Amino acid sequence: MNRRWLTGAGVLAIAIGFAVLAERTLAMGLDRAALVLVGAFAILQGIRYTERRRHVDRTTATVDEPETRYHVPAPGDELDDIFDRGRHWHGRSYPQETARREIRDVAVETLALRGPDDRAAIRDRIERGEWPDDPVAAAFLTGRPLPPDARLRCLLRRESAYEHGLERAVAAVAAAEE
Amino acid sequence: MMEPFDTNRWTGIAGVALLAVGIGVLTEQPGAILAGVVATAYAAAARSGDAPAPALGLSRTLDRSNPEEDDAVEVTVRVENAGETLADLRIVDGVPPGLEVVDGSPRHATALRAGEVETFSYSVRAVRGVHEWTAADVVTRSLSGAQERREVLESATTLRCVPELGTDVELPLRGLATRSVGRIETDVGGPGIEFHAVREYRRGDPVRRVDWNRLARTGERSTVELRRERAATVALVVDARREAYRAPNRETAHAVERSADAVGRTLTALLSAGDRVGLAALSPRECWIAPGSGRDHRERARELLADSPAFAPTPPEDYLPRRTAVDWLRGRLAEGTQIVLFSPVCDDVIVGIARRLDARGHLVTVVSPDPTGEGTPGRTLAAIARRNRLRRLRRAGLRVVDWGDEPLAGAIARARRGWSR
Repeated sequence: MNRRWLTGAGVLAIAIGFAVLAERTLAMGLDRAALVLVGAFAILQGIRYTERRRHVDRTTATVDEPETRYHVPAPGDELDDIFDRGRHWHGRSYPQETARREIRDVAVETLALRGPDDRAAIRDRIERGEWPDDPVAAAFLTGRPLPPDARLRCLLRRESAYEHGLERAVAAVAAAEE
Repeated sequence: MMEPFDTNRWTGIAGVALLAVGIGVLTEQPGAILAGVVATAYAAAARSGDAPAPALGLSRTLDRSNPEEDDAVEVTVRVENAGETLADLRIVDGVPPGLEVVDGSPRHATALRAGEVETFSYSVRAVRGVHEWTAADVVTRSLSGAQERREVLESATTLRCVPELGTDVELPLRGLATRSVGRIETDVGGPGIEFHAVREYRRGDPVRRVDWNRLARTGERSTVELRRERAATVALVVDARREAYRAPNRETAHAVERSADAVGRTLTALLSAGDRVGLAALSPRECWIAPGSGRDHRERARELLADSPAFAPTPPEDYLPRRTAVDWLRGRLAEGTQIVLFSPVCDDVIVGIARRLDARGHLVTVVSPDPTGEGTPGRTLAAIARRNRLRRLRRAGLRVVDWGDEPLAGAIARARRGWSR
């Protein structure tokens, strides 16, 4: 209801304005200073209102996509989420350690199924950096910094050392499977 | 009924109006003042009038309610306005999550006078199962677009697709057998087609079994024994837990759908061979048919594959603990029933379930539709982990069919080459 009264008051003010345009004598009581005051006030309020627009997002009713079927994830999508979380951290942070552990677990299983089934020994080798032969993948899996030449390459390519190490480690596990 | 909300479409227009008026007044420019007046009119229009509350009736008709799989079904939506005029009305129909729109659009925008009726159509592709439409979303807007109101319209509509079970796919079974004649080769002599042994002739043996060559050579009468073939009791078990709802991409059927399809084909072949076949799902949504045979049993299994919520296109919300799954299944299986487990084997729990069932005397064959994708480190690693699990199952003595993109019969033929009897 308030909104309607305000709208009405606004319409009335505009009507008076038009009336003044038609009959100038109605505005005889207003001098230049009063007009400047009104104009300045209008500009200040205008800036305030326009500024408010910058902080307001347009909203609209949103609905799901009915055209497509229910989408199920692919195996490994949840692992990619874990790997992505590691991208925002540095060093031996919890998200990066979680990513390393996931890769190490699959590596241990892969090697144990294709060679001597001594999982503790395999895990020790990985944690000591003795597996795989690729020094970048080995450093990544131990959590140590990558070798200097790999870090330099990452720097020149503007690639994250974490991502580079992760991809090489996954590639090493894939190679061990073959 | 939901409350209307502001869209903020005209937020700031009052500021533009005030700026124009202020500048016009200070510079004594009538044009600027006039622009301010126009902007004020817009601001006033934006603030007048709410998004109307719709009073609509919605109904749907399907051009067929029992389609075959892959048929396009046309859906016609009829909307009737029983309330005031709606200047801006948007309708988004609640297509079931398991169906894909293949023609037209379930979205419709219109203006609807009081008492007026509007219809629109779209087509969906039918897939196995019972599919229920959800509520349609309805959005009304004020004339200026400054306000919107969202409502939902319920209208029960169901599409039921019960496809044929598909062509036979013969899956070799393992050794356990019943007393009925069937196709499992046993180590016992008797009726069958494969040579088993030669024994001394006994009075009453059929003449056609007499070894005439031996009689001619040695003068002794002996009887040829064939390997007795007996029927098996088999439970076809689908892994329909949350973890099994996986697909390599949006376009491909997920592993539970592929498993249900494979179950249908295997069931046809097993029943044709005289085996007794049951059907179960490892899912919080219970599904079970005890082993049986015959045409009626086949029909019941066909209906269950389509109707059971266990094979729904969307995953269950609850998890199924391993021990619960094993106990539930073992409580239903008679001794000696062998299991064909259809599972993508995407986690270690299913490996434990399969091994435990096998160890308790239910010989397990695993048919594993491969849902793994590629292109990311996570997907590559998950594919390796799945192959490791299949390897572990094989090492434990279970038969495994790793079923990729090829037809199931091809995958079985490839797997058989690695099986010993």
